[in-house]
Parts: sequence; structure tokens; C-alpha cells
Amino acid sequence: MSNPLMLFSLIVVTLWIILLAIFLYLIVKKRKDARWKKKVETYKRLYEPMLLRYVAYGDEQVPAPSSSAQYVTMIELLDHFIRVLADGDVRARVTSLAETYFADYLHKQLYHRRLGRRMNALFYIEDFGLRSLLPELENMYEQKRVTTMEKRQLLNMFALFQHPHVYEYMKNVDDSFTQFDYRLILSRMDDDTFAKMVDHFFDWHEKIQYVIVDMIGIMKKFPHIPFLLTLLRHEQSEYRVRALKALAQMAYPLDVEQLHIHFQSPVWQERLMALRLCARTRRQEMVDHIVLLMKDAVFSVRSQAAEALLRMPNGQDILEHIAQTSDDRYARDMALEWLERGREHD
Amino acid sequence: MIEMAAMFVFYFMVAVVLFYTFLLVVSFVQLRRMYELDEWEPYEEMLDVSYTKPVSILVPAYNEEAGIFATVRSLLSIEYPEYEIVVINDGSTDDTLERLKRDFDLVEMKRVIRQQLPTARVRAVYRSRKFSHLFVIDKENGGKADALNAGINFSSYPYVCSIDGDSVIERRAFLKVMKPIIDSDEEVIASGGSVRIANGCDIEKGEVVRIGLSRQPLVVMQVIEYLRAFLMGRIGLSRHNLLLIVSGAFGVFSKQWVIRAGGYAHTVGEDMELVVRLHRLVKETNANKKIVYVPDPVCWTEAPESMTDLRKQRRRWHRGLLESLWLHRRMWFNPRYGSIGLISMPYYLLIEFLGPVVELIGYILIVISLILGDVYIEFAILLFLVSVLYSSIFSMAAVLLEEWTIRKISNVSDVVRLFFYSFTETLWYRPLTVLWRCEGIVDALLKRKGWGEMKRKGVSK
Repeated sequence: MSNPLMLFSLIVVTLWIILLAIFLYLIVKKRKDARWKKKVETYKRLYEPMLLRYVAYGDEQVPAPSSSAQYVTMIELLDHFIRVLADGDVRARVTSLAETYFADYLHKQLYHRRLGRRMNALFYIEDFGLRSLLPELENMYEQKRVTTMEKRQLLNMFALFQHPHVYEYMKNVDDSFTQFDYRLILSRMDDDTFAKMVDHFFDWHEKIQYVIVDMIGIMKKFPHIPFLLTLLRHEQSEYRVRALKALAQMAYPLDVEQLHIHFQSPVWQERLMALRLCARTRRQEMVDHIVLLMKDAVFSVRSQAAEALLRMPNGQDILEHIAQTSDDRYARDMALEWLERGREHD
Repeated sequence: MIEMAAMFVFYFMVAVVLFYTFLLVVSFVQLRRMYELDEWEPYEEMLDVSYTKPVSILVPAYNEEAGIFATVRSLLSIEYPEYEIVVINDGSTDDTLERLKRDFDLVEMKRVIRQQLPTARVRAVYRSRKFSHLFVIDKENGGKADALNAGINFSSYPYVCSIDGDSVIERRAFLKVMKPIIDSDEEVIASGGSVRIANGCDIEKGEVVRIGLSRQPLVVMQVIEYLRAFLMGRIGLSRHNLLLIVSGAFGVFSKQWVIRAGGYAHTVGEDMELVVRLHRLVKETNANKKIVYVPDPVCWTEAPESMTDLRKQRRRWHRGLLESLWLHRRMWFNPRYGSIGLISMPYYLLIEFLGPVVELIGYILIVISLILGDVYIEFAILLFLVSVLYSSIFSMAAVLLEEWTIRKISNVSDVVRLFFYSFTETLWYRPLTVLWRCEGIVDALLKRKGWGEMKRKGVSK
């Protein structure tokens, strides 16, 4: 056999042997992990009643975990309880137990070389409300090698733990943060911090501004309605659209003149959101205007107009009338569809 | 002559092996980073309706009476805050529609359908009295793409997902697949999930209750093939936004972009075709959009168990690949389309499409060399070794990659079986699929039509 061929055979055989070795390693590991999992399951059966009594009534002595299987068992059980029993006392007891038993363990996990492990530790610290680890989290955030995934979760936790500098941290995040990320952060802020965000609204870049407006609606922050009303007069349509959407979510009864302005907007999203607001607030005096929008050029606007009409006290009659008499085919079709949807609902 | 051909085959395969190695390394690093990450925590926030985008799930059905109930059942119990299911009966000749009417208590409804994409005539639209988010469109036969387009016209949500008539979806599939879209503020316009083979698994009421491995060697080989394609190929390609396939069995698309791209096209591989067009549209409009792939297995599909069905499927797949590539030949090696034109397209053209042809030549050369004997034996050995490297070694690596990172296979014995079966790949399975794929090319050149649908028996109990 020629030399190059020998060499090549050698490469293939070596690769094969390496794969076989990895295979054997993984098989041994799989067996070991299966045994470990079984151990955790056994511990779970053992600990569950005791931990449940502790979190529910607080009158149980819980022994400290000593092996990693015991740590994992207790952490997973407590995390489960906190999810199903979302009660203030339960939370407090879980936090106090976690502070005594798991703070060190989770602290170590924060430095694990694998991202998956570090993230899990962050999730547990958040779920258990381990404020004592805040300085560690700050350290982690300042580190150079911190990934965006960790940064997002850390900011969430700073917001949740009402970190005094969360505001400054947010000022310095990079572009990779999305509106969804900001929503999660803002959703965890207390009223004071959130109010501070609104007060400095025009200092933020657009992405955060939009999220602030959205979150006022989603979280029904009624004290900020006057701020939304000022946005309705903003020259940029995106602000007006989002403010209308947030007001609709809070079912705020806007006055007729104001609604009328938005109904005539050249931006269809603005007409749509104004209609959605009408649908939520059932303003009888707007019916004539809404009927006009049944002939709108945009499908979604016509559809929303029909829905707004249907929700009026005599909505079915109005739609019936449009379906029979309108000179616009699209308006008739849309009225018929929503009449049917109304019946489905009954 | 034989020497030159053998050397060509050899160097081609070595080049491909190097490229595969690159993909393997990228995948390994990606998957290993997320190893042991909690299965639930990252998705918890997504259960809040106000943050998530609603999805319309489209289920095209053509003569699927055996599997349709299980598919819809599995969709009814998925964990996602807001979605609707739209089954499109594409003029079935069996009892698909009757079965749906009976099982889900359908009543006819009036609905204005926006004709954003042209389709065959819709006969009627039904809604379920049992489940308010389940709808059925009954239309004249127009093929799968046509059915999907009709579903898009009817759907009322901004994201659409197409699901094959006989696949089973994991309950958290949509949370997993929608996550990149939500996380990126909709910069991601299409997201695909990993598909696994359901044969051999226990499925009850539309849910996989135990992951098992079929006793059929042909199915075991397909399991390996899927692992290889999804874990190795797609993660590596997705990482660099080079992905040209969002699997036909499971993918979520932004409706707005699908409509702009003209909807599904009437080709054999409509899923790949759509993804290529989306990429093209993104490049041509200079939009900053991405197509990604999620490695978690989220969808289980029935694999053909007989040689005849598998052969039909592979011929059809390869024909579809050729059609898509040919349709977009302007993108080949075209710098205007950036990495898609310069890397993805050549990859699919040279490796995915022409690879089997070169492999087939390799197998033929092995046989010829063995017959000629003498000095030609060395060529035979060389080509055999490189084929082992090309198919068996990488398949073994894919099985190990699964076990090292995702670890969905619970039984030790299943892993052992997968590993040793993958070792035999070069000896029988690979030559067969290579031959079938080459047949697909012949079909395409001869313009043979026909769907070659396999007879399904249904995977669910």
C-alpha cells in the first residue's frame, strides 16, 4: 500500500477510535447521571412534605442540605412551590430559607464556566428574591466577559430589587437591547422608579420611550394618564398611536373632539387605535363617526370599526342596517362578518 | 481516466468534510454553551399575552383522515398565550373533512377573507363549536402551497406556522420557536424548529409521552440523518444567517413578509422555496432581517418505514431542491446577495445537490476498481475510506453531539443502537439514498410530476 493511503487510513481509524472513546465516556456519564437523577427523585419524595409544611406554615425545621444532589432537590422544590403558591408569606419564608441555605451555593454557581449554569443561578436568585447577593450581581455586571443574555437578566434583577442605580445602568446599555428586554425591565420596577422613567421621558432614546408608553397601558398605571394625554398632541404619529393604544388598554374615556381628531388622521394605525379605544369605552355619541370608518380604505380599520359598533348597546341593529343599506360592498361584508361573530359569542 | 475521476471524488469529499467539520465545531460550541440551561425559566415571561405575538397555525390536509385528529388534538393543548388553528382541507378525496366535522363539532361560518394571495376556490369556512380558536377551510384541490396560501388569507394573526398533517408538536414548541422573534423585536422574520422522528415513540392524545427508538433499521437510519441535518447543518448555518431551509414540518414566519414575498410557491419543496425568497427579498430591500433555527426538538413527524415510501420521499425532496436552486439561479455566486449568494447558495448547490452525484460516482468507481483489481484496489480502498469519513464518521459524531448537548434520548440502549447503526451507514443506507436522490435529479430533468405521497398510518395511539 502506498504511503499517502496508509496515512489516510490512519486518520480515518484514529477519528473512529476518538469517536468510540467519546462514545464510551458519554455512555458511562449517562449511566452516572441516571443514578444521580434517581437520587434527586428520592430526595424529592423525602423532602417534599417537609418543605411544603415549612413554606405553607413556617413551623417546620428544615435540615441544611449537605450534598449537591440535596441542594438541587431543595432548590427545585422551592422554585416549584413559589410558582404555584404565589403568596406573600410563602415568598418571605422561601427567601429566608434560601438566604440561609442557598446563597453561598448560588453565589458559586454564578462563576461556573458554563453559561447555562450561570443563567440558572440568576433565575433562582431572582425567583427566591436573594437581595443579599446584589453586590455579587453588580460585580458580575461590570465584568468584561459577561454575555448579553446575562446582562439582560441582571438588569431585570436590578429593577426587581429596586437597585438605586438601575436608572444609570439603563442609560449605558448597548444597542443590542430590544424593546422586549426593556419591557421586562420596566415591568419589574416599583412605582417610584417607573415614575422617574416617565419624568425623564424625553431624555431616553426612542426604543425606551415606546416601551414606557406601552407599559403604562399594559400595567394599567392610571396616574400616568395625563402624560399620555400630552403625547396625543405630539407631532410624531408613533407617539400618538402608542398613547392611544395604552389609553385603550385602560379604557380611558377620551372626549369626543379629541377622538374626532384621531379619526381623521392620515395615519391608519392612529384611526385603528382610536377605534379600539371607542370599542373599549362604548361611546354612543361616536356612532356616526364610526359608521363612516366602516368605509375606510384599510381592512383592519373597517374590521375594528365593525367591532366598535358591535359593542355598542344597540350594535347589532346598527350593523344590520349597514349590511342591508350601505353603498359600500366592503362595509356590507364587514358588517355581516361581525354580526356573525357577535352571534358566535352569544 | 479512473485515476483522475477517483482523485476528483476524493478531493471533493475531503473539501466537504472540512466544511462539515467547521459546521460541527460551530454547533458544538453553540449547544454546549446552553447545556443544562433550565427548560422553563427562559420562556416563563412569554406566557404574558401583552408581550407575545399571536400565531396562526396552518395545517394543510390532503387525504389525512388517519392522522389529522391527532395533529389537531396536539395543537389544541399547546402552551402559548394566543393562537388559532386553521386546518385547510385541500379537496381531499377521503373522509378528512367529515372526520373533522364530527370530531370537532364544526359549523359553517361567514368570514370576509382578504385575498392577499391568489388561491383555488374556497368552498366553505367552518368554526368549531367545541374550541373557539379552531377553524377549518374547505377548498378545491390546489396543492400544498395553495392550501397554505388560503390559510394565510384567512388567518388573523401576524405570524403563521405551517404544520404537516401528520406531525405532533411539543406543548412548548411555539414558546421556543417564537422566542427569537420576540427577543429580537421582530428582526427575526422566520424561525424553524428541530424535527425528530416519531416512529418508535409513545404518543398519547397528541403528546409524546416516551421517546423511544424504532426497531426498524430503516427508521433508525433516518433518526440519525435527522440528527445530522438539524443539529450539525442547521445550527452552524443559522449562526451566520445562512440558513436556506426552515423545515417543512415546523417553521414560524412573519405573515407580512410571506405575503410580500408572494406566499408559498407551487414547487415540490415549498418550504425551502419560501425561505430562499425571503432571503432574496431581505437582500433586495436592504432590510435588517434574519432567519434562525432553534435546536430544541419541537416537532415529531412520521418517517416512512418501507423502502418504496422512503425512495419516493427522497426523490421528491431532491427534485424540490433542484427546482428551488434553479428558480433562483441568479443568486448563485452573486455578490449582490451577500453571504447567501456566495456561501449558502453554493453550499446547497455543490454539497447538498451535487454531493450525491459525486458520491454515486465514487461508489461506481469502487465497484469498477474492485473488478479491475490489481493497482486499482488502492483506489477502491481510498474511496471507501473517504466515504466512511463523509457519511459514517459524521453521523456518529452527530449522534454523540446529541448525547453531549441536548440529551433527548433517555435510554442508554437507544444511544448505543444509534451509534452502531450510524457506523454501518456507508455500507448500505447511504448508497441507497444517494441513488434515490440521483433518481430525483433524473425526474426533474425529465420533468416527471406527481407527489409520491406516502401512505400514512398515523403515529398516535
